[in-house]
Amino acid sequence: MKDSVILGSGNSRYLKSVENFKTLYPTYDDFAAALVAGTLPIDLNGINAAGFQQIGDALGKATLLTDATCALLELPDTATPDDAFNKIVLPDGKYAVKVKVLSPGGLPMNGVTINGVTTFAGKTAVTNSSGMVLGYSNTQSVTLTAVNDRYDISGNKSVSVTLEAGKLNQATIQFSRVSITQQTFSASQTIRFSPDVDTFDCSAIGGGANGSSGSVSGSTAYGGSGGRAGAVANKANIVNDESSIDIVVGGVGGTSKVGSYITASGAAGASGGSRGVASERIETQAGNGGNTSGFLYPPTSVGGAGGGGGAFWRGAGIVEPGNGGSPGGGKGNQYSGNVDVGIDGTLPGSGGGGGSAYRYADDDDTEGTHRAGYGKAGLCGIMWRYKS
Amino acid sequence: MKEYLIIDPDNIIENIIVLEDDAAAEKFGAVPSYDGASIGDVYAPPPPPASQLREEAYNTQAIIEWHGEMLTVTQAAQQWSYYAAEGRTDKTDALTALIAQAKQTIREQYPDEEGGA
Repeated sequence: MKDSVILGSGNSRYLKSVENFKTLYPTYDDFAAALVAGTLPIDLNGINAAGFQQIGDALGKATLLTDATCALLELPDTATPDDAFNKIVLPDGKYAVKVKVLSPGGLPMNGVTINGVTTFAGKTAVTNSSGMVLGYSNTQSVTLTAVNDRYDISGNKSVSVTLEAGKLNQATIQFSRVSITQQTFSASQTIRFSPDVDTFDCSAIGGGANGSSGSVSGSTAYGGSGGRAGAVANKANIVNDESSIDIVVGGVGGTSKVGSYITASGAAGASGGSRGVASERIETQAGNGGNTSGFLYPPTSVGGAGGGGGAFWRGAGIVEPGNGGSPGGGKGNQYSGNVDVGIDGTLPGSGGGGGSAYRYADDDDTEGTHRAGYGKAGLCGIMWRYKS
Repeated sequence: MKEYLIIDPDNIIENIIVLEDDAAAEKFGAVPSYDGASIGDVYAPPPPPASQLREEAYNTQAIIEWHGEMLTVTQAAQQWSYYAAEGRTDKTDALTALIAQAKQTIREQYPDEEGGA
């Protein structure tokens, strides 16, 4: 529809009065008295197109509610537009219910799917920014289920209602809160907070690296280097805007992320121990893995780089492996004895110990290696606070 | 939980991440990892074993002509079972030969690697 817009030139409409106007009101005082008394006879005698910038659509039965539309809605042609609106919102054979969804803190929940009813068009019912949706059911008794996709809310919530025909029923669903306010994640997932959450903090550590393998080359046995720990990143007091947060947990050597807030690269933290080297002339001690600390939200023990691998060469000294970095770095492997024990990283983001290499001075000059330790995948964490 | 790979548009491994299962991997646009995968390397998963490729071919390659129709090995085997239920040995004998020939053709396409099954 379009509105009328007058030019404001004083000529947009005509008035018409009775033939004997001047006889009835011969003086201005007579005219004014009749006007004040509300007895002055006039017609609104149509519009003058010359006085309009735009002539709007007329308001009448033909434009507001035609007989054809009345028939379509199974209403008499005397029905008013209000009758038609009611007929549309509350059709025969259907029950209408306005569902309101609230957070545990009483705030409207936007984008919540309601099972048990559909929209008038038969589509999935989803709440609007006011937390409301108008749903329809073919049955009088219905169970309304609000489907939860928020991390701080405890599962779906259902209410069973008996609906009355011919009226707009009301139902309110209020979610419940989970009992925790912090969580660590060892697998990637996407989370979203309810409007109850005010701010949150997050931490991440990238995946630790595997240790390097040892080798025997020429007249030298080389232990492998220890694997680096993952880097650690923290960020505090991030304002919750209810958007989805991708929590990415890096695998071995992989990068961990919390949304676009923090990125913790894999194998970019504490350095792994240097390799041990043994030959007839040289003995280089293996290094210890570096330590890791500082995963704050929530405080969690993570990381520690791997120690360097040990080595042995016939007739020379023994090069012991390096220790793993604190708290969870794998120790470098030994060249003999209790091999492969404690060489894998034990905590998220920790590095594996380096492999060992050796050559014995027995009859057939046995040489070989023992495996390097495996690094561990990373970790992400979140702590959140509710609005007061 | 398993490790998966994020691959960039240039087919380079961008990240190695941990996911709960394949459904989660689909949401993150990740593909299964493999031994030796490393960030910065070209994504080059090892080819599936020949036995798996043959199984796929049995289901997809319609190379058996039977009464004017082209059938896969799987479809022909199903047809064979219908004839067997009816005691039509003339048909089953003919199909058995065709199925064996088709499987041999597919085996030549995807032979076992040395030392394989």
